[in-house]
Amino acid sequence: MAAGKTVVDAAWPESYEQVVDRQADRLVRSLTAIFLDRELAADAAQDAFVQLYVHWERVIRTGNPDAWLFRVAFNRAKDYRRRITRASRLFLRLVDTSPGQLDLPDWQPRAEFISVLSQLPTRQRVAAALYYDADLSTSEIARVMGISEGSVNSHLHRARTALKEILEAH
Amino acid sequence: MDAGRMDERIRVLYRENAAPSCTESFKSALEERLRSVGQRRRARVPARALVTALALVVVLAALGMGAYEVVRHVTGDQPVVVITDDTMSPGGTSSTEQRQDSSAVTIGEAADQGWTTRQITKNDFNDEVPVAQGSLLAWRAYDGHDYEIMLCDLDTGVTTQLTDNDTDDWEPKVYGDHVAWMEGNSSGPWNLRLYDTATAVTEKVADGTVRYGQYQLKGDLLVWPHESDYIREVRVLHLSTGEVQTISGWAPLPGYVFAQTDGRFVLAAIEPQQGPMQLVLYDTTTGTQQQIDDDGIVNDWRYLDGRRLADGAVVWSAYDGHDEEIFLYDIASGTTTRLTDNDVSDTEPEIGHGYVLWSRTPSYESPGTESPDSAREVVLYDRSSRHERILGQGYGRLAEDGALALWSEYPQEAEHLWVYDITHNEAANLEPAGSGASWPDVVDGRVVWYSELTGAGMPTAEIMVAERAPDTTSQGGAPATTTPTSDGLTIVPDDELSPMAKSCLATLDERLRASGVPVLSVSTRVAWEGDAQCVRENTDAADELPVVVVRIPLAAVNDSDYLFTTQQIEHQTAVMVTAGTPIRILAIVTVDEDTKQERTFSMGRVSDSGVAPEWKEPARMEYADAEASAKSAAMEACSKAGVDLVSFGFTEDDFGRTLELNAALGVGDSGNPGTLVDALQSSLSGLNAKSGAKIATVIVRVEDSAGSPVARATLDFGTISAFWLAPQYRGQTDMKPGIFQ
Repeated sequence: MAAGKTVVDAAWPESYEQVVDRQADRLVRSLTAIFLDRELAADAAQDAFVQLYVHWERVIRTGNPDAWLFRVAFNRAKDYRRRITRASRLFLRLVDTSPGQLDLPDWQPRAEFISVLSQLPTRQRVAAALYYDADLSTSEIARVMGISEGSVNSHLHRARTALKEILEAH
Repeated sequence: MDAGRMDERIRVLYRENAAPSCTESFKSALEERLRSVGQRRRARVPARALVTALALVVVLAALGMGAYEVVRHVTGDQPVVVITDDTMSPGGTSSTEQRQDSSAVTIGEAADQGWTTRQITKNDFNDEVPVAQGSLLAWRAYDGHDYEIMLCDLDTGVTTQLTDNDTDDWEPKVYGDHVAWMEGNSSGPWNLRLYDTATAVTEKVADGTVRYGQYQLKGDLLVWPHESDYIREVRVLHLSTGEVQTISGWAPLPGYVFAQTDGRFVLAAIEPQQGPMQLVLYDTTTGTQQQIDDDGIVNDWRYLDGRRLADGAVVWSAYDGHDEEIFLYDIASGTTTRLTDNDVSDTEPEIGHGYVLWSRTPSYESPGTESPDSAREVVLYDRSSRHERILGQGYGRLAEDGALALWSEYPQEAEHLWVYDITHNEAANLEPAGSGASWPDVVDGRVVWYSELTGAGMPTAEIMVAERAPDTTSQGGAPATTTPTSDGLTIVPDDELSPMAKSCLATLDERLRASGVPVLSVSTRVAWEGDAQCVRENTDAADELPVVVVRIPLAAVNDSDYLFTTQQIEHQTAVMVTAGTPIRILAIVTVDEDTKQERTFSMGRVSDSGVAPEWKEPARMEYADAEASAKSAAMEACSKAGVDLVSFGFTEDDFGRTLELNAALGVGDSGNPGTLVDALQSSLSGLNAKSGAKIATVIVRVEDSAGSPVARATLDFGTISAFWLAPQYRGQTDMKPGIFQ
């Protein structure tokens, strides 16, 4: 990645590119499973990575760029969802000539999977996506979500109960 | 299915339904955006260079001073009392090292009440999800290939392997002389097997038409939903005669049917394709059935795993239009009674002799609720007195005979496992070893669970049983001069207090009133759920103010001053603890001044020198500290930047808490908003490191006198993630121009 940071900083054992390689898919997948909007997820993830690039030196000094990345991406996605309707976002895409357009392959999840996810309270959906999709630990999830680890476990328990239904039905 | 397998299957589910990979496209698009950022940054460098030197001096001065002050604040001795899920429950924690000695049969005890814990299994494979009745204990055991069913006679200690095949056998249930279980791999179909301990004969009861886990064995009856393409029935096997009854005839064809039995009645919960569930009670002795007036929508039956039918009654929870409430149907009278009517969610009831137990969480609509699950309470309701009490926080179970209740922080790997003797009003922490207690249950005077223990090799799940000798059920005894309250708390009369205790109480009372807490009384030597606790604490604390209870009017909670009130109590108590007052337990009791009913709703635990390590858990007080520190940092940053702090407040949504800070330029639109953001970034970053990222997201807005924005910034974990600064101010900060968006 030409614009990336290729030098590994002493404060963090990975380069910026390595973090992108490691987290890009997971971040987009997790955001998609949370917000159930593929384009929104990709946009928010892009923004988060741009911010990580801009603030790299400071973020790695926090010792946990992953948590920061997920947190920023959540906030971006949340803002998008709140402020921009899907239609207006599409409009913005049409008129936006800036670089960075994403070519997104089709996403065709099972209907019952989406149905169950959409019925989960958001916190449960977030916890489940970060746990099952992004493979974050409960302590990392607690940090990203800003809640206690006990609360994360509770959310996961409830999400697990709901998702179990899908598994039992098939 | 155990949680590990379930988690793995859910992971697969996520993978199967994940958005397809777009890494290359993503990286390509990202690269273009980064180039764009780089170009903007380079274009602005000359402008930046003109003012860097001067701005650097200003910023460093402001930043350095602010950072010093904040660091000094957060690293200083902070009097903190943590009130958490853990602190709601009685009993202290003890060393885990002793409990991890898997070679000992008895691995721990709650000595004050005579509880001892036995490790039933010890091998290189997992033994999980025990169930018990009478002297029989059954569980599933992994044999290196699949799960098998094991049965132990707890009186003789003899263990028998009931299955030995290449198929998974799980979800055993035991009653009397019989053991039932499900046979089939994880994706089904499942057969239902029944073993008779008297004849040592196993028979197949149902063939591939049983839903996983949905069956029950009680008395002479084995019941299960029988499902095939166009059939939804409940089958009832009479063990003594071998007769099979069928309960059916529901129209239209329901989506699911659930069944429970108490040995005579069969309760069928019928979930139609649309609309509310229906509850039908079938009397196997008369062949008659009655529809239960559910007085609402039965909405939690599908998660049925508890005891809903027992003691001549049925319990369930139903949504009343605002939140879930608990209902009880008395079979003899045919009447339905609503046990709760409040603004919180009451769910997952269980019924035992004379009592009902359920979970209570704040509803999502409750204002100021950080997380409903973090405040999950276990409620025990006395059917005769109609009095309810909060046992603690977490997940509860109730024995069918109503003698014991059980609760733990989590259903899996709970660090604490509290058992409560309802009859003798005693509670004890069973101190589960290893990974903690998973899926505990309480039945017939015993508590069973499984824990992962570390032996010579890899940790393996082992079966544990806690029980106690019959003659040690009320070892604590009640001091003759004490007066039990409705919450089981016992107050020592004032004339028995030592001078030091009186002095401490008076001081605390004074501090609380001065801080605005509407105190009704401050008392001491209060036992929490039983006198044994009081005795133990008295012994530990050399009879000097071991326990304090603060009573406040219920109105203080209803007025949404909950956080303020509890935090003040915690804080003021912690100040005294830090100063050397040996307060060990703090209980906060609300008092309804109209009905005189009391309820203990929060409880903290502090050691002589501050927060006891075992109680360390992120909690409100830490948030409060972090908030206070953040506000201090904000005010300082505003002062350094020459701007006025207009408002400072926290909002909360599904993604956590956000601090919103609004500021205005000073007189004549003076001040430096860039410095404000820079200083905040430094101070909040340090603060988050200290507080565990309690101030996760900060939004900063600065306006001029005309109300026009001059700065907008978002900081995540104390680091800028979005920043816009009016052009005229950009040269006044040391920050890289590339970050202004």
